[in-house]
Amino acid sequence: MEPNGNNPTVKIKSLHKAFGAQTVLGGIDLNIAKGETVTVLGRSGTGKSVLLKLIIGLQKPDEGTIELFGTEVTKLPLKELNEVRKKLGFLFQQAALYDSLSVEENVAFPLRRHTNSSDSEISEQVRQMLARVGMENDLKKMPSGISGGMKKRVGLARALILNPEIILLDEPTAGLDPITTEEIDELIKSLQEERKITSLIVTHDLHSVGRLADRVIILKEGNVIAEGTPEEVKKSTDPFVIKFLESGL
Amino acid sequence: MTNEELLGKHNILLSFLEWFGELTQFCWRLARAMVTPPFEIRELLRQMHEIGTKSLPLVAMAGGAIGVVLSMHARDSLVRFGAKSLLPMLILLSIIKESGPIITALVVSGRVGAGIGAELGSMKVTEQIDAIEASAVDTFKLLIVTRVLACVLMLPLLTIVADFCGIMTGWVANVLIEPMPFTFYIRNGFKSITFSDFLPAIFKTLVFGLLIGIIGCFQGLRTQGGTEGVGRASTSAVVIASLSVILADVILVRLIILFFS
Repeated sequence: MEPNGNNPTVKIKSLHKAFGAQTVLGGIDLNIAKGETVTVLGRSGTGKSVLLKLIIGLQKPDEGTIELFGTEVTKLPLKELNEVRKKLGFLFQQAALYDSLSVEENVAFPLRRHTNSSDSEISEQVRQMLARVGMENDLKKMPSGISGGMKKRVGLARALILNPEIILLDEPTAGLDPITTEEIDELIKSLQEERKITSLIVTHDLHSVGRLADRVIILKEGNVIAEGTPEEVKKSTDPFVIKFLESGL
Repeated sequence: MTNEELLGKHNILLSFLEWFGELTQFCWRLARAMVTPPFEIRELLRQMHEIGTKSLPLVAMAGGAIGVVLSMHARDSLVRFGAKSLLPMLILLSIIKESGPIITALVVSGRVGAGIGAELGSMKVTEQIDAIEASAVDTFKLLIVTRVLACVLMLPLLTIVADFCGIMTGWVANVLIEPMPFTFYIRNGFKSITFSDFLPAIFKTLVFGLLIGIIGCFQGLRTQGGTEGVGRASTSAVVIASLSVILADVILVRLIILFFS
């Protein structure tokens, strides 16, 4: 894997974001190669989720550039940005399922919007994807009637249904029991291997990092203080990194 | 006036100006989104059902109640002045020109304004709107344009229902006190009512629908601060929409008198 290859799928340069007087990201540089999995670690409130939202264009940076597939996206008009977004899958921290739609309709939503597939084709695709995440028996359930872990699985299915080239996962296993966490990690890993998806995963779970990450970055106060393979980061001499990794294990 | 009081008033003024500026931007974006394809026809029909069909019983009841009340009040007053024969005309004119449209608008602003404010507010705080946007869908077209258009299109239809129910219950309330043939009631009532009474009143409801839709959506999208914020958005949507409807009514009645009388 070439972490800082010549043509990275994601190329972030000097990314700044502040909310009022509070600086959340203080000039981040990050390149992610095609098929690479990068996990982002850091204490709560250090801008990890903001980083993902900036990449998909839900928020605008104050300074800096974000290139996806070679296109600078921070200043793209909505129509063109949406064309890029079709190649991205996003899993929100709380899954953000549409509560007026059933599990099946939630996953079908991107397909109905962006493909010309027939109802039966969509239904089949949704069924297959939900089977991958172990939710094939809950198609007709409403989001209010399923657990947090199930919501995460459905959210993941929705993020993956359009076969995205990049997936952005915001704490995919937060709040889940260890067995479900491992299952979801295995699912993400198998999808990465099958489809060579580029992944940026925000997590607090160091076991997930060990299972999934090609590369790890650790954020502190909006800046990258450690970067490298999981093994390299473990050898860091930075007191914060040492404390963070020790606390997480 | 102390410095603190002065500062407080200054902040209120600034907040109002900020709110008004954002509302203006919102309206401009709405106007542009309404006329540029793609159009979300399927979602529009769904919203017309949610906003229109589901408001029907409430609007019919409100219209019916107004018919009964008007009939009782009008009879009492007209008998005093020896003008009982004008009763059908007075009931129909009052309902068609004013009571029907304003009661429908207030009922809808209560039910639909609160509903839109709460729904969009809760979608915002649970990141569902972000999720739609991340799915490469224009949330403004899908969520806002459809709701506002549904309000605009359904208000006149609901007003016609309210008018109909009011006219019918007005007759029933009359009959319970003194026999009056239905044909006499209708013929006498419509004798001096023209299209220039009916049409401006119905067009007025298009404006009411626009106001209810815009305020409901705008307050919903401005939601901040979790479930408490959703409650605030919903309440403010109803209060502002109802006030806007009443104020707009004053202006529109003046314009109608100016152009149609």
